[in-house]
Amino acid sequence: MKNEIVALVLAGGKGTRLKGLTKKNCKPAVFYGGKYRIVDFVLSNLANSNINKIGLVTQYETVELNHYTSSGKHWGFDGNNSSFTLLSPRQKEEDSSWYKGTADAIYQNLDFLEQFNPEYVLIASSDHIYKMNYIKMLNFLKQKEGDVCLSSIDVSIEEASRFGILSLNDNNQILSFSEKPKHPTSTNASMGIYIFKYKVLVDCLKHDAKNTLSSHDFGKDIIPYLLSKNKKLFAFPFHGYWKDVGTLSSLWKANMDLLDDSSTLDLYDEHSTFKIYSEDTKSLPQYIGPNALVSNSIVNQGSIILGEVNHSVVFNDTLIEEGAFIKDCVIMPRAVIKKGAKIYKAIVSSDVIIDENRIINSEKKEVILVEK
Amino acid sequence: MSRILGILNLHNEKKLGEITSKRSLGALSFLGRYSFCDIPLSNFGNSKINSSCILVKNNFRSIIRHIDASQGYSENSKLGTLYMLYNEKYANEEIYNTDINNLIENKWILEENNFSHVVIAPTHLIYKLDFQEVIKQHEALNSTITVCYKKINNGKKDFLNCDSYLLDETNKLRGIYQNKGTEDAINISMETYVISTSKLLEILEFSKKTSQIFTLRDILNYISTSLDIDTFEYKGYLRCIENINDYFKYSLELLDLNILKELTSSSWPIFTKTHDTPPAKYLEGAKVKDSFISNGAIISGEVDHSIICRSVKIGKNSKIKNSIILSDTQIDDNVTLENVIVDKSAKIIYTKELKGKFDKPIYIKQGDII
Repeated sequence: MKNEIVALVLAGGKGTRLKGLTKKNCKPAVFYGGKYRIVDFVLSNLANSNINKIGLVTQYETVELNHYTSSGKHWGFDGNNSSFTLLSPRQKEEDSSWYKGTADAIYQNLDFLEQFNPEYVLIASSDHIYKMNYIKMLNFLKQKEGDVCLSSIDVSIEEASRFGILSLNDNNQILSFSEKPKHPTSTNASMGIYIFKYKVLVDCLKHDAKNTLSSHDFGKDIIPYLLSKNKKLFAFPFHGYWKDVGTLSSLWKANMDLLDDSSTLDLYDEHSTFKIYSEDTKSLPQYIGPNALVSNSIVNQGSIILGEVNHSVVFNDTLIEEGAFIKDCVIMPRAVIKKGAKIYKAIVSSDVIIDENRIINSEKKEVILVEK
Repeated sequence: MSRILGILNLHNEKKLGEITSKRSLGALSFLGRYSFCDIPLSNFGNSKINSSCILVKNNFRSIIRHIDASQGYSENSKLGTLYMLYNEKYANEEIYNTDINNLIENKWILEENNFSHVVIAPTHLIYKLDFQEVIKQHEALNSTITVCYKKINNGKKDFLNCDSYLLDETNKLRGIYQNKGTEDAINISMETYVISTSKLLEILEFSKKTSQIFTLRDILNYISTSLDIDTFEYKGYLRCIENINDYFKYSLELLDLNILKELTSSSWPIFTKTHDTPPAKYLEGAKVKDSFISNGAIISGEVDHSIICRSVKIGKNSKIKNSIILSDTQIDDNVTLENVIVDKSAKIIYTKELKGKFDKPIYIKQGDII
C-alpha cells in the first residue's frame, strides 16, 4: 500500500547531560511539565498532524520507553490503518550492530520503510518541547518542489554556535550548513526535523553507509553531502515555542516556562485543537490540604499537598507534607517531601523521599538534581 | 475461576432533580474527575470481573458520552467487554421500563455466554467491595442467590427510604421493606446480588408469568418467603445518594482522606475515561485549601472545602467555599460562592455573590450564564 508520509522518531539518545535522570532511562522518557514525558511532544505533534505511520527508533535504556509507548495508544496510534513500531537495534542474518549515528539508525531500518513505500519520510528527534503541525512543513516542501526540508528557527547570535546553522537565499533554499559553527554567519538554526523525499533519503543513506570516514550523522554528514550533490534543500521557518531540554538547567527552565504567562507554549489550549497527549494515571484528583499554600505552580492528579508550593511544577502522586516548603522546583512522580523539608531550585527525581527538615540548595545558584 | 458477568443496574437510581434532568446519576460528576458509574464498574474491574454490562434505563446519551469502552475497566481488554443493555420497547413506558424487562429483552447476554454467576450492583449506593469475597461465600454455601447488606444503628436518621432486609435467625432473607425511620438497628439493602445464571434465567421466566412490572427487588421480596436467599454482611463504607443534598454532603465528606480511603485507594483505583487535560494551574494569588482540584483547572482565587472539576477557571479575588464546581465552568473575578453546586459549562459573571445553606445548596444549571 502506498503511503504519503511515514515518520521515524529518533529516540535512542542517552542524554548524558541530564545526569542521574538518564542513569536508567533514556532522554525521551524523562518527565516534563507535571504530567508529560519529553517524547509526548513529538508524538502528539504527529498525531495532531494526522501522521499515523510511525517508527520509534530506540537504543539506550529502552525498557521504560518501550513500556511507556507500547502500542502507541496514548497518542491514538492504535487506530485503524495506524502503525506504531519500536525499532531497536536487532540481530540480522548478515550482521548485527548498534546504531552508529542518527543516519545509521535510519539506514538499518530501510527495510522497515520499504514496506510502506512512502513518498516522504519525516525524521524528527525527540529532545524538544514544541507544538508543530508537520503537514504545513510537508506542504511547504511540495510547493518548493524540493528534495529535503529542514525546519528552522531564528535563534540569537549568541546561541547560534550551539546549533546547526543554515544560510539561505531569498527563496528559503539552503545554501550551506554548518554544525555548531564557532563564528556563525546566520541565526537560522536547524531544529533536527527533516522531511525527505523517500528516494533521496534511501540513496544518500546507502551512500553514507559505505563511507568509512562518515560519522553517520544527519547534521554532520548527510545534509552537507546532499548540498554538495546540488540537491534542493529548503528551510521551513517555524515560529513559536521550541526548547531543547538536554541539560538539567534547560529542562528546569523549560518547566519554569510553564509558569510564565508570557511563554508561548500553551498546554491549556481552550478549543482542544492541539492537545499534548500523555499517559493518564489512575490517580485520584489532587488534594490540597487545610494548611497548604499553592501559588504560581502546576500540580498533577494524585498529589497530596499539605505544605507550601511556590513557583514549582509538581507531578502525579507526590506527597508534600505539612510544613514542607518548595520553591522553584520540579517534583517528579511519587516523590515524597517530608515535614519541615525546604527545597529551592531543584529537580527532585521520581520516587525520591526527602527526609524531615532537610534543607536543599538554599544558595539557589545552580539548579540541582536530587536523586535516589 | 468461574466466569462472572458484572451487571450495573441503573434502573433503580434516584432522580436528584434538575441536575439529573438530562443525565443519569451514573453520568453525574463525582470527586471532580469521575462519574458515579465509574465506582461500581471499578468494583467489578478490581474484583477481576472482566465482562460487564450496564442496564440503562434512560438518558442513554449521558452514559454513552461517559463510557469509553476501549479504555475499559477490566484487566485484559480482550477478555473484558462492556455492553450497554437498553430496553427500546419500553423506553417511554416508565412503569414497564424495569430491570427485569430490560434483562428479558437482552436475555442473549445470559444465554450466549458461559457465565456461571452474575453480580448485580447499583450506582446510587456507593461502596468498596471485593465481589470475589461474596462469590466465595456464595459457592461455599452452595447458594443460588446471595444478597448484600450492611447493619446500621441509626436507621431513624440515616438511609431513610432505602430498602432494608428482614432476616431470619439463620440470616436468610425473609422480606424487603422500606426504611421509614421507625427503627435504628436495621439491615440496609445494598441492592447488590450474586445470582447463578441459571437461577436468574428462571427468575426472568417466573416474573413473565407473575407480574409484567415486577422489578428484581419485587421478585426477590416475593420469593424470599418460600425460597432460601442467602445474605452477605458488608461492614465497610456505604452511602446512598437519594437527592441533591446527599450528593453535596457525601461528596464533600470525602475531603476527609480517612473516609476517602474506605472507598478508593491506590490498590483499589477508580477507573475512568481520560480527557487528556494538562495539570491544574495555580496562579499568583491562588489560595486553595482542603479541596480536590482536577486537571485542567486554572485557579487565581480562593478555594476552601470544595471540589473543582476538570478545566474549571476561577478568577482573581473570587472565593469558593463548600461548593462543587462541575467541569468547564468559568467563574469570573470577584465572585463569592458558598454552598453552591454549579453544573457544567456555566459562567458566573454578573452575579457576584451566591450563598446557599449546607443542608440546602444553591444549584446553577448546566450552561447557564448568570
